[in-house]
Amino acid sequence: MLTYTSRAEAVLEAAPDAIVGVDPGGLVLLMNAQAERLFACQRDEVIGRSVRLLIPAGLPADAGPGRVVTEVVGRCQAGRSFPAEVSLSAVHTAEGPILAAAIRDVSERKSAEAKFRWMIEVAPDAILGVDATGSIELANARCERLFGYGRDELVGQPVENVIPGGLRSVDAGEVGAGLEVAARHRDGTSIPVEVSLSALETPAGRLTMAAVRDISDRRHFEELLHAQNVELERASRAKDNFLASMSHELRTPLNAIIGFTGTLLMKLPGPLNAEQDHQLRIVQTSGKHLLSIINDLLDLAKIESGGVQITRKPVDCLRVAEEVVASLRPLADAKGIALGIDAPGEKLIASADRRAVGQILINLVNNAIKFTDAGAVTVRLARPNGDAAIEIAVHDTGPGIPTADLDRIFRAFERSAATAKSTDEGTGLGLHISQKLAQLLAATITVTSTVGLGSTFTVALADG
Amino acid sequence: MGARLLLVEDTPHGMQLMSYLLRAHDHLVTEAVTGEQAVACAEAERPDLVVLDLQLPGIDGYQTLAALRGAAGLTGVPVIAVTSFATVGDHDRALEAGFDHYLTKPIDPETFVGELEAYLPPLSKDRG
Repeated sequence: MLTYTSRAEAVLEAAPDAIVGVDPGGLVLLMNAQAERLFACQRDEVIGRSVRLLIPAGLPADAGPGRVVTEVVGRCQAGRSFPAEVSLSAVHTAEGPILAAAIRDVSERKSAEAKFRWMIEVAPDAILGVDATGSIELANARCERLFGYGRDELVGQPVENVIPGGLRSVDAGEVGAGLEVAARHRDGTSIPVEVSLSALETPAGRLTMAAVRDISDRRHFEELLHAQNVELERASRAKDNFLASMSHELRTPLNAIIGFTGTLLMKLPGPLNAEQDHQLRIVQTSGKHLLSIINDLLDLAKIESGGVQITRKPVDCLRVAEEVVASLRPLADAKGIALGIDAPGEKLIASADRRAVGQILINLVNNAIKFTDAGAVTVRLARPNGDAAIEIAVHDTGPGIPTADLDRIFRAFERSAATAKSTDEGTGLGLHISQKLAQLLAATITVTSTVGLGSTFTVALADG
Repeated sequence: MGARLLLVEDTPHGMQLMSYLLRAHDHLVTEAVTGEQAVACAEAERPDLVVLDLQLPGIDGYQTLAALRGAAGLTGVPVIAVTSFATVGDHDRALEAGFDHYLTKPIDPETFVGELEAYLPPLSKDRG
């Protein structure tokens, strides 16, 4: 209880808050300097007049001493209104009771709050503010759409009504980490959502802010993607099965054609005259040619469908070259061509797939022998200038390839017209397949050629 | 008299070809067109060698091989796969499954018999 003295008046004057004293009839009895500043007036203009000059709407009926009244609108005498908070206390003086009102301009706090609310409103997610008891204190407009409740209905509800497990169920201990849970719409439907939590300190206490994102679309796309993957796998399996069946179906009749032509040519059933022998050899050659086309096509189909597994391991290039040369030596001998290997003393180990390197080399050496009528085919191994790449070059003394044809020869079924021969058994696929295999190995095949002197096909492999 | 071979092959022309080549080299041939038949024949006759097509109606070549390997009286009988599934993985798979050797179709008539004879047990080779 205070006694009104001049000393008290001095204290009043120095108080940091705006203070206005009002008598029981609502007339202003006194005000301090802060109040003059806040309401932009001189106390002479106000004292003795109604407090409604300063607070036009008055205070709520239940406002009384000991209470803080928020949401008060103050009016300064220049005409501007401002949001205010008023604390009331009763003071007894010699002249009678006074209601002392400490008035604080809360414009700044209000505008900060408004900004905060605006940020929550425009957030792309539904945002719920939940207090320590699990009751929803705050909800943005997106919550209305997501949960089907009006905002007024949401506030005060337990959060379990819309997130059945409550926020504890999504609190993985790590703030901000999204967790996928099922939310519940007012109509009872379940909505897949991702919830991220953060804490917000407010004057009213700590709120847990839950950003709730509807992931129905994402789920839908994930399911769609999954279904597409399943379909692709099925299609890929169907293609593999098709290739396997093709291989079987094409080889079965060829087995009889090549086989029985062979038994006839072996004269197992009886002697042949020269013309029969000649014609049967044409059947045999054509059958074998057809077989190599089928083999190449199946290889190509398998490479292009991704069915060729490349396993990178250290590959001893000399050993692969020796195996290839050994397997093709009969072909070279039959044509009277020298076939050799030229390798440095050091071991050349590449990081590659042994089988793929072997197949590339077989194609290149086979071609070289096929197109060379006299001279030599040489496989040269080198690591030029200590470079990381290992080069395997297949050099021949064949007719050479005109520059204009050099980029055509790697295409399927294309050959250099200058070297194409009617008797040639090639399928036109060997180089194409080799190029594809090289691509799988991240290797390159290059060619240099001089018409009349020969060609060199060079495979560059990564060092192992 | 040659060795006794069991041929298991479901395509008639394929069978005729292999059978003809083997008979021409004085071997005795028993023919079976299914895996089930093959197992019954092998158990009854204990051949010196079995040539087994991988693709058969009913139980396939792999299952037939397992049945042959499981039969008590047939230990040590070489079994050679012949197949028109000639892609790279097939070869490894056949050897891993326990075939002694693997030939692809079309077979080479000039080398076919020789390749099989290399797997004949010494006794039957002497007879051949």
